[in-house]
Amino acid sequence: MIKLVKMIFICFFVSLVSTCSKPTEESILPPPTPGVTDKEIILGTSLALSGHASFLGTQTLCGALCYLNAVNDRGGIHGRKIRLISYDDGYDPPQCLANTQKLIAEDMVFALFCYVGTPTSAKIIPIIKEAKIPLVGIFSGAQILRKPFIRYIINIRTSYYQEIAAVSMQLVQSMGIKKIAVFYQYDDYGFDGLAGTQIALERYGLEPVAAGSYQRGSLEIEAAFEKIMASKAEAVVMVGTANPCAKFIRLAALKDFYPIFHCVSFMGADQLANTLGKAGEGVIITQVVPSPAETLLLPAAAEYTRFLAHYYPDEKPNYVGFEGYINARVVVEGLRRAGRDLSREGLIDAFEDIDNLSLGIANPLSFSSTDHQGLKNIYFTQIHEGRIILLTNIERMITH
Amino acid sequence: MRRLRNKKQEMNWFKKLKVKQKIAMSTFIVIILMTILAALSIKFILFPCLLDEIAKRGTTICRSIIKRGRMHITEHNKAKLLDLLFTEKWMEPHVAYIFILDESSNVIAHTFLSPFPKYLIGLNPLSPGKKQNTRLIETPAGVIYDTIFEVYEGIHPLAIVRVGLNKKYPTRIAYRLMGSLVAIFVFITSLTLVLTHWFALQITNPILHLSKVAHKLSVGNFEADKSLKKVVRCRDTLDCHEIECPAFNMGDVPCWFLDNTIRKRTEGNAIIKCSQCEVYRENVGDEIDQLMDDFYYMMYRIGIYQSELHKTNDDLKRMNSNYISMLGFVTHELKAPIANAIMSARALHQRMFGSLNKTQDQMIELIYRNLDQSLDMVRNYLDLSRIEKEEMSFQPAPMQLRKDVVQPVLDDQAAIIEELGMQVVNMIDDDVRFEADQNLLRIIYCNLISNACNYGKEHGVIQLTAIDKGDRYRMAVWNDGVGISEDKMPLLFEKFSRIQQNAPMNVKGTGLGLFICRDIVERHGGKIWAESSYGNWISFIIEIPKYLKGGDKCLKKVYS
Repeated sequence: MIKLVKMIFICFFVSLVSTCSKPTEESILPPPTPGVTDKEIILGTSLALSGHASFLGTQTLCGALCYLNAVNDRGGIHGRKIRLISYDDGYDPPQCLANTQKLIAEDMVFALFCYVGTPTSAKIIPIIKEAKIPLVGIFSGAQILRKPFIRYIINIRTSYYQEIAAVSMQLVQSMGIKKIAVFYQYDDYGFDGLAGTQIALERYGLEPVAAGSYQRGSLEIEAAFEKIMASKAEAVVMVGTANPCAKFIRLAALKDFYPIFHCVSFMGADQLANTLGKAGEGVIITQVVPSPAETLLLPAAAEYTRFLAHYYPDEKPNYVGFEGYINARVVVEGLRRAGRDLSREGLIDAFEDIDNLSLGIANPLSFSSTDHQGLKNIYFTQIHEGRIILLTNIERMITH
Repeated sequence: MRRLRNKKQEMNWFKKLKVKQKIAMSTFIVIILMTILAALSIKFILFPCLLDEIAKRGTTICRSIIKRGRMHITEHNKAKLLDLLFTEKWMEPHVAYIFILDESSNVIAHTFLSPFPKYLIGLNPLSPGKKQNTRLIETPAGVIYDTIFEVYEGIHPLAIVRVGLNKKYPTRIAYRLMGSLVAIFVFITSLTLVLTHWFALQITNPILHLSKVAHKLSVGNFEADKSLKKVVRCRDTLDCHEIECPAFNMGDVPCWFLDNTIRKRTEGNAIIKCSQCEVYRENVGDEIDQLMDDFYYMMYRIGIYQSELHKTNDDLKRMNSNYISMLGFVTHELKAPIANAIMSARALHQRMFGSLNKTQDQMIELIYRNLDQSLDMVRNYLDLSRIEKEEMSFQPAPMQLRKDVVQPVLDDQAAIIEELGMQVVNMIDDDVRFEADQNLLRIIYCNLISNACNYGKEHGVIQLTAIDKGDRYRMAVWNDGVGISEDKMPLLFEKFSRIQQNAPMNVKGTGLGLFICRDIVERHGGKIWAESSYGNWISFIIEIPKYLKGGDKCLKKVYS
């Protein structure tokens, strides 16, 4: 009996120990610091260099490269020059996915940088997590890139929610407008903007009077237009790209429909202004970076203008390019803080150490281990006489 | 034999455990066995089923990819194909990889985030004639269930889809499941042990308490242990009034108990009960509580009975003492007057105070005889009194039976023997000698010979014998006569026992003679009994040891 009891005890505890031991995990990922050699740091990007969103991609790239080239000309970071590999995804999420896999698996870049667009960036989130590779500076304010919190994504710009909340406050509280509609692109980007509008209006006990959408890459906006016009909206929040939105605005003028139009920063204000011409008079565009024209007030604007003229003399300063430039400023700062002994985790830690960093745009940059959105300010601009001007009849900046 | 002995020892070991230990051990062993069984079931049944399911899952994924990606393959749309492969991969957490090869085994698309491991291509080849296969392969990342599926365009192969499912993932799930199960069982075991221990205490503590109380009872301590009883107080729980509740002033004893002991009655003998009293409700507490309550009340009752018994015993002792004192006093006071009366009668009978006529002579003789009988009776009562008071002296000394005991008695009884015409045959030898109190032995022979005269056949024979039986002498007093029937034998030597079977009408007695004889014989360490042929003869037999051991202090006296 005693022997039996002893045997039972032994069996029990052996089985307990053996079941609790976890099988060890092995990974088939590449070596710890790919994309880093003695001489260079390789970054990768996939953005729209062709197609209907090509302005955004090309200008972002130009803005980023002008700063990176300047840094390289000065000797690079800790003796390493920065090389940026870029692929055109045409604002197509599957192509972005393919490009990203190529960058990671074949080009073996150290980090991803300066992606453009919500659906494209959202598509590669699982790859970011699996590869544990940083993605710094995305030209998108979508919530999916912010919540749930992802350690490897470093957002620099403010979110769409914050842009729409700021403009909603002005429309509802300052201007007494209650009937607000939403015109959005039918993808993750547009859904994000629609949700942002609904959340913003809910604070005032309101909801959008109409919501119309169009397919990404198309200009078939008529159905959405009719729906919004029928609602007699006093303001329309536009979450799309420049061409479809421009078509909408022109059609509204033709139909004698004159609500206040608000576009989020992704629009590309300069492109919109150029496309619309006089028809764009009064269109409000919220910006997440200050005006690149403020060269006297903002050292960064002056530097951007100077570098752009040097490296890309055919390009003109614009908001999109300025944002690309700022993204490059941030990634360089992170690489500098990470030190010579570079690692992907080290880069993320370096970003999280940044607190109230002045980028020369009167908008300090801060990150933390729980907040990976660097900038918080929003700027109101308006198309006036074919140019983008800062609004003066309402508050110029709303800080969140 | 050794195994049997070991088994016995093991059983003895188990028997030595306390009840709560037995309960705890049994419960623990059961739970352990259940845990082991469950763990083994997971390992040998659930786990293989899980892995089998995983293997089939690979085929399902291949089919899904083929169905949705065939067009992308034919159109060489790598981006859309990659989108499809990654989507499938992200939907299944245990997919290690998916890749597609063209008919020349060149990689069209894959889901690796590192350079494509070319060694994988040849690891799971298709057998001729087979279109799909699942095989377990070893990779640096671990063991993988690799499924190969050929895609056809018409009858020609278009591409090959390969899906790798990580064996680690289901293994991890199974281990986690087993770990959770074990943790749950450990928790349940601990909880059960605690509960079992508590429950066992609920049983064993009262039993232990009852055991202690039973031990108190066994040593004669009948004081009711109040710790046994739950608090059930009628007057504390309800607003009972004195008139209604008979137990109102009786402390913590409930009404129904007192109903049986006090029995306060109304007219018509109805027992007063407090109809609202909680104690009358059944099932107060659990079985252990009820047992404790009943045990308490049992002790209470036994205590009452015991005190009553003590009181009765005291009364009896007192009465007995009074009786003995009175007996001694009366018989002692009676003896002298009777003796004096006998002397006077004898003097008259002997014509010391003048002659007597025949009638006077007969009358004197009758008076003398009656007085003599009365004296005998008084003597018997005196002897009894001395025996009851334990004042009868016992002074054994070497003596000769015939000369010191028998002959003096025969001489004393000569008159009555002659009157009745009895023939005495004294066969006792002169050399029958032993240690005894000759005065007491005389009392024996006096009673036995007197009985032989009174109850024997007229003109019958009285035979006296003494036989040497080694360490003792067997003496007998035999006479012919009525004798005693077998059923009356047990009463023969009882106090105040007079067996009136065919006894002469004029024989009077106290019924103490044989009782006294037995007492005296037992003082000598001997025994006395009677043998009889009813209607023919009776013989009283005495056996006395030749040598007494320690005197009468070590002798047992039994009184009826």
